[in-house]
Amino acid sequence: MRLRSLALAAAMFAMPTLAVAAERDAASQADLSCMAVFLSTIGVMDSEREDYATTVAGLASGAMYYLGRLEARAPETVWLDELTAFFETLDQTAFKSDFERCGAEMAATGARMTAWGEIMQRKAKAAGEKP
Amino acid sequence: MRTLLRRFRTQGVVLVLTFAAVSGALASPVLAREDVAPSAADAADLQCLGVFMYLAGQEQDVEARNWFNGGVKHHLGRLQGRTPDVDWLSRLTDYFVGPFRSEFEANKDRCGNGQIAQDDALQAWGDAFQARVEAAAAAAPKP
Repeated sequence: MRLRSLALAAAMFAMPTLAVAAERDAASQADLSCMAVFLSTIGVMDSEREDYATTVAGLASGAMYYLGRLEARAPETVWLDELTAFFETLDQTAFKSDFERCGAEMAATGARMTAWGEIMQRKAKAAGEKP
Repeated sequence: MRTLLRRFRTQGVVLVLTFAAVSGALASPVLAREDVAPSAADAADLQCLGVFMYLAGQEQDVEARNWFNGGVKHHLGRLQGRTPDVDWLSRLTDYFVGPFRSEFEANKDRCGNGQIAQDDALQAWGDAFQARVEAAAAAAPKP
């Protein structure tokens, strides 16, 4: 995915507003912010980093998580168009605080999934050890 | 991604061998968390969550596993976005105990194709966005 220049894009679109962001409910605005945060972070990642592929995969799955939340809540909305509009009206200050909020949310979700997976593995192992 | 789908479609042959272990491991201690049946949309997403979660757990190839994990997150997000008051991981446990194995073949292509369509849409959006950025950069006044 050619998203490496998203951060530049965000900065450029923040100046001349070409589209007006649609009215969104608070939950959708928060989720859209998170989707934008994750995609933008992919855009500024150093591709020479040793953990580049793994980190990008994690960020991309984070973006997919929030896209899923958005499209399930409002399936009639074209959320990728909303994403474009979001970048065009980007609030750089809010974007920084969103980064922390979204990262914490995804970390919590990831921790719950990890705990669930560990329980599953233990149960599967225990079942496999039965005669 | 096309390559991944081809792999995805062939996974079932191998993976069926371990279904018994998964469902057997969970059969005894798990109780139903909620008696309310999920909506049709939630049921479809729960099926895909199960498919992707299972495949991600089985996959050894990092790229493929990452792709499956993207499917996991996407469908978990859909479920939590649509019906936030349900513990969907508990529901997933129940689903693995229940009809997951018998439904797997029927669900994996639907779920895989849906995820590929989503990837394609995101790819197209990224390409279009990139083109706009480059056009804006080209049109910007030069110092």
